[in-house]
Amino acid sequence: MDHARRGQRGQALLETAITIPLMLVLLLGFLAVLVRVEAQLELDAATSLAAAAAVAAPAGSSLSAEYARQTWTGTLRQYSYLRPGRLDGCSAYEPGQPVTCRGSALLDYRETPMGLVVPYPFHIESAATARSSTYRSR
Amino acid sequence: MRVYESGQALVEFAMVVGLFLMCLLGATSASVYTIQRSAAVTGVAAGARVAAGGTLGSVGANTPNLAGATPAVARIVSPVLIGTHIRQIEPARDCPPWSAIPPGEIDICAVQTAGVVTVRLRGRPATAISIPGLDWSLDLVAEVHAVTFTA
Repeated sequence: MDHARRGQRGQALLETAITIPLMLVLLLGFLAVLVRVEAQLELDAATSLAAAAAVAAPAGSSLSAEYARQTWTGTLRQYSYLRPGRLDGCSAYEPGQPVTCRGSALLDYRETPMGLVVPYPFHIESAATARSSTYRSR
Repeated sequence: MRVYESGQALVEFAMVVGLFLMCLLGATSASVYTIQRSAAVTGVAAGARVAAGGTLGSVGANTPNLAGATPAVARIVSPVLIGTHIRQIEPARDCPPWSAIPPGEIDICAVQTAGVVTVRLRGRPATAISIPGLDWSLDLVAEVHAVTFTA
């Protein structure tokens, strides 16, 4: 009888030991997916603003790339899990021509509890195009 | 023996249900927070675009529309911040520090530093389900270089 009770207790402990980590992994995985979506949205917003800043610079000036870079890093700098990478393509704005920016960032879960289930960084990318107003003279 | 077994099953059931509910609550809370945060990201970006666009008047083209930025953010975030007090800080004044923002309040501010316009949303939404150890606060910034028109 004692042997049977000990067996049941062992079984319950084993079941708990399997269930708890499994549920934690599921929860952390769910959070990781949400953060992935959120990070893409944040990168999209920053890249879109960078393109808007590029067309805000004086026409034909190298300031386009500088404005875009300033805007992009300024918007992305607040996120500890999102490391800004390269920002390409925000060349000099010319009247009537669109400016396209391509930004990339590294999404790193390793400094968060989600690093337990996703222990490697993700490379994410975004592109945005902006045109200035038709009524702009320069 | 049967009493012992049913008691054991009850304890196991209570533990599993408790854990399951905790996970469900955590997932729901995270989902709500993600929706609010997404709206806030979109909101501050839209506010920054409005602010960078310039104002009306003779010198308006190169003057950021800071007054128009905070209502633009509020319009986007208010549908998902149910029960949260949204305070629009007057133009050119920075958001107060965390300690000065009560729970259930979100502050929106727009400032200009040199040629850069910064729109910030900071606070703790009222609808966030409080879970110890998880801070569901919002502190988002969008920066954009103001439009430059040369004569």
